[in-house]
Amino acid sequence: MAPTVVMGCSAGGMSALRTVLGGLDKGFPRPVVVVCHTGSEDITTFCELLETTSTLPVREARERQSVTTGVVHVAPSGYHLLLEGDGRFALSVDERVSFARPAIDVLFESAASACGSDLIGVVMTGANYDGAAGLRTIRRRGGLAIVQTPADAHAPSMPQAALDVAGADYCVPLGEIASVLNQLCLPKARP
Amino acid sequence: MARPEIEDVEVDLFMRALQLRHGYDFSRYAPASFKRRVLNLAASAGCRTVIELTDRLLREDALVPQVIAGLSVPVSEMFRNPSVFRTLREEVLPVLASYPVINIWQAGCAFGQEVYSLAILLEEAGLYDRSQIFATDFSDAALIRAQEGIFPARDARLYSENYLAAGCQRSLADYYHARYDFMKFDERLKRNVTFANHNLVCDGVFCEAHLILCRNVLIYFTNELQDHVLSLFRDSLVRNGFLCLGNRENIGFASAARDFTPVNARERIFRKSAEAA
Amino acid sequence: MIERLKADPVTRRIPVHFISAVEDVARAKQLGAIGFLTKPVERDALLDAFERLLQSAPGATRKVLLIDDDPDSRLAVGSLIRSDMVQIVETGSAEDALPLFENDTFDVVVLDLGLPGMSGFEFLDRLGSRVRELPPIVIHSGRELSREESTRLRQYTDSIVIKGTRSLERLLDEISLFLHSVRKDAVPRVLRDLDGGLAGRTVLVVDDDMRNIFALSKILREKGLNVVMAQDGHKALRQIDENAAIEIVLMDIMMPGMDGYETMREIRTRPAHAKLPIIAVTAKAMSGDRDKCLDAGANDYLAKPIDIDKLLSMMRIWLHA
Repeated sequence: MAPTVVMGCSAGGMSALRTVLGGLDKGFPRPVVVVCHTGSEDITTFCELLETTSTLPVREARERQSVTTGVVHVAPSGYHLLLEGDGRFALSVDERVSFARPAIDVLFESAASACGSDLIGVVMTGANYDGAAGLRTIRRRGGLAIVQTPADAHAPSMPQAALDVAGADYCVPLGEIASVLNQLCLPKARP
Repeated sequence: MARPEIEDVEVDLFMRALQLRHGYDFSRYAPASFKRRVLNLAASAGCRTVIELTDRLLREDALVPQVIAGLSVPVSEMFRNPSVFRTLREEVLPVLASYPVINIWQAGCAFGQEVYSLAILLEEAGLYDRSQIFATDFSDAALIRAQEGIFPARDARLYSENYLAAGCQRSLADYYHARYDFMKFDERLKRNVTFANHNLVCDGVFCEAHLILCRNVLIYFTNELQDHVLSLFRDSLVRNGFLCLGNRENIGFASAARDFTPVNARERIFRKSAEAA
Repeated sequence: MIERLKADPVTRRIPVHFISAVEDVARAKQLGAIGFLTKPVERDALLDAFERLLQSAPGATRKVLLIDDDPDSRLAVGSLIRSDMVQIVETGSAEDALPLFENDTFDVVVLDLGLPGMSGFEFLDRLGSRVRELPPIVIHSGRELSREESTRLRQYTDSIVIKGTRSLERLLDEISLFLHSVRKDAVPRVLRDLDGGLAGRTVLVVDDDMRNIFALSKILREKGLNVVMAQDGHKALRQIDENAAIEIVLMDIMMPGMDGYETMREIRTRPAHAKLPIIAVTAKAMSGDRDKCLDAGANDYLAKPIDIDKLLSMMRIWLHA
């Protein structure tokens, strides 16, 4: 399936997402899929809040619908969000992973399986260790890993766990994540 | 075409072994979640690889119930998404009350939390004595758990909050006894429940239902299997019968969806269309 | 397709929701007539054909008989269905209603169950013995019904409405279903199946699914069989103990209370019935389920939806054996 960006964050994630999504290029050529442990049932409001700063439209990820380039898809609360090999979303109510549903690991691992090396995983602020195992799977399948510098994070333990378990291709402060993504994904300007 | 990952090949072989040797067909389950479950099963069975689990599955019949339990939907809670139950209470039960006998099919009942929720809802509406709930699952292990009606006491608080949010009239504690770390639901709540093994993948119509609840089960199926099961539901429902799905489920890709009309789209409550016969 | 529907006195008069019941029990045999049920495109075509038939019917005024002792209730129901196309006849008692059928036919009869004098049940029994074919009946009951009562009623009708806050909309729906179904013409009843060796034999149908009771018993009766019904295992055992005429049993497996397996085992413990032919009917499809039925004492096994031809030939074999 098409190259994709997957992101995970937890405590402090709302504000981190607003920063990153606000910095993406208007013509960002990849779909972005986000799991944030919001703890809120009201995913619609969450999407609207993100959209006030985001350059791309922000939508709840819907079961069986295709991942769309240039759209930020957000996992609904109470369900794990998975990517199928045919580029569609799937949901599950399987047990929580790292106390979370949606869990970042579940999204990352399914995306790694679906996208192979055409995948970039991003782990940002959070107070647990969700996302670390998933990021490791992404890297093992040839995808790239971006991790927020723990010292820069509102809650450092999640990015730290990601670094410990998976390592990273880019470890940068929050403010630079968007530009790294733009550089990696936008077509290179001709010399 | 890239070479498939070893893990994916292993999962495929596991699925075929399960079908060839034991007759269970998971080929139309959505692959991503199925794979997760198989990997978890292998890990919990102490197998280093899925192929090792497959090897054991072929030789140890005793492993089958555990495998089936691991591949079925385990998670629910009582009155999950309370607004759904509120809508059932306010919009659906008054219509069901016009039938002399009310048949309700809880398809994929897992550990039974929704079965007991439903029984309580019917009891409080004064309809339970002329209702019959068929609670089905394809996992015998789940059915045994569901029949016991015993849940961890730590869930009592969440269940009670849900119960009240659903607009129910008494206290959830009226229906269970707490013992040590468990809560056990009143035996009387089961008096009109039939627990039975039924596999949505291959089994057919077995009752005339006025309401079918099947929440968060079809999300594990491919579009094709989802369509098949929706047809099964259509054929099981009386004319204008109700279908209640999980609140994030999308049946837009199933051709059988045209036989259902949403009555409350937000809560995923549908009625079988009159034309669907 | 329409010709076959019209030629067959059963399907021609069956309202749409009843046809769906037949599909469950008699798919193979009936599919010739009602294949539209599983193929939406054909189904649409058939519905169109129904519409055309309806429009071309001369003077298609529909006649509804309301039998209810409560004038307010008659008024409420009457105003619900009143239209230029509908003629409403009202009576306050079953005694007054019966003679009306001597010179008249009705497209729908709406029957209140709580009548003074002759009860609705008695009315139906008497009417059934008087007329060759019962008109479509909609039961409108002011009280809840016991399971026995509703099983008994389901022999006559699929449409039973219990009065309540949301019941009028359903009543309207049930009535209009009959008003819009194809109008009957006088067609002789099908000849009884004489060759099959089934006529005059007695079959016990054990099933809690009302549609099966209704549809299956109708088909079997047309073959000249005497049909006895039980809606659960306990009642089946009682029937078997009390009714020596029962020669064969169709046993549904998935039933509330005592299921089919248990019931069959119980039957087999009775020396007198050790050889009573039992055909298990199940919605289960895996090979292990068949063995489970046979282990529990079934002689044969039939998967739902029932292929009626297969069922009849199975019955012939077991009744002959």
